[in-house]
Amino acid sequence: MSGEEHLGEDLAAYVGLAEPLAPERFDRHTRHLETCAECRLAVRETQELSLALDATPLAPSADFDRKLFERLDAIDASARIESRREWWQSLLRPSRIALALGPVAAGLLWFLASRPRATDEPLPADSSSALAALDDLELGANLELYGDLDAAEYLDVAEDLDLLLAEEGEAG
Amino acid sequence: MVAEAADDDARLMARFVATRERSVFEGLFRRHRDRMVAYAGRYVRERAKAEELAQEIFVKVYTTKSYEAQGSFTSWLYRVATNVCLNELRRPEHRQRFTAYEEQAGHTTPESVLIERELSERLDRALAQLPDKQRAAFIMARMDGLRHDEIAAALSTTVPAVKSLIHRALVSLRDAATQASATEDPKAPKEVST
Ligand SMILES: [Zn+2]
Repeated sequence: MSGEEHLGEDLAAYVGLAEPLAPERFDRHTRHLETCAECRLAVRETQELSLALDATPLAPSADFDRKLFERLDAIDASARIESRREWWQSLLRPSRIALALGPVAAGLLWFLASRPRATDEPLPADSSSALAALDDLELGANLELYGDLDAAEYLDVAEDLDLLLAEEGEAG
Repeated sequence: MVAEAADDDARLMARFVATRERSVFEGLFRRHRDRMVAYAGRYVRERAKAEELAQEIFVKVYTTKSYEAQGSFTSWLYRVATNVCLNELRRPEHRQRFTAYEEQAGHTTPESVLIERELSERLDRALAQLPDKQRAAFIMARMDGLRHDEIAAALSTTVPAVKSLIHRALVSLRDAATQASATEDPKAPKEVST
């Protein structure tokens, strides 16, 4: 760059409105200003502008931190609820349910086998802990709670269980 | 752009995202809180709104799920902050952004101060009318003293583009300022809204 070149895009930096220029570049512009009225005017106007722009920065109020940390606590709390929800969801995946229901089904089978033969009779809901556990599953309510669970797969498991019970009833 | 080495805060941010240690976040927060409040205050002049935006910025930081520790944390933070502030300004209800800080209200104001404030409000208005990137680059350079390369990273652009953005912003603001001084009658300063 020659000494005759105008300040151009270095203007902001020259008056301290942007990242400082390298010293030799700054000096070259200073020499240029001695000979260029146009750049002198630009520098003066920009310096005035810079002063007018000098509004005091807004400082945070005293309760700024407290408000933020309350929000962050709320975020953490809802994240904990979410992770618990995910845990339950993973528990309710069909493969897990099948595993979990294994002992329940066995209990039921034992219960049915030890009863007098009366397969048409509906099972009393409160007659065994195994049945109570089944009631707790409350299919409909769970499906609502765990909205994104694959409902069809879940129902398959329940149907399989019904089938198993029915077959066992006939065979027994 | 070549990947830069992460600065200290960038490494801390990466650690926070990995471990969720609140104390790590708090360190970052305390170092950058004031400048974020001030930065938001350059977009919305109303204190309550500016603080809300600053809170939003830190909530975004806090809930960041993935963060690559490279370059300047400050640049990344300003990118988050600029997005938050510009999103806010795009909201249709955002039309009264030129009210002065309440600290300035109620003081006895000599005429010279009123004239000064008139000019400063004109400049605020001119600043608000700049294209988004020009305004963001100018604020970061002028008010926050960021280096050109930091601004470039924050705005996902190059250093020469940043210099050009700042220059164009400056030209527009200078026009606004010189027009203001040409049309102003110092004997009859306009009522200043507070
Ligand atoms: Zn010149």
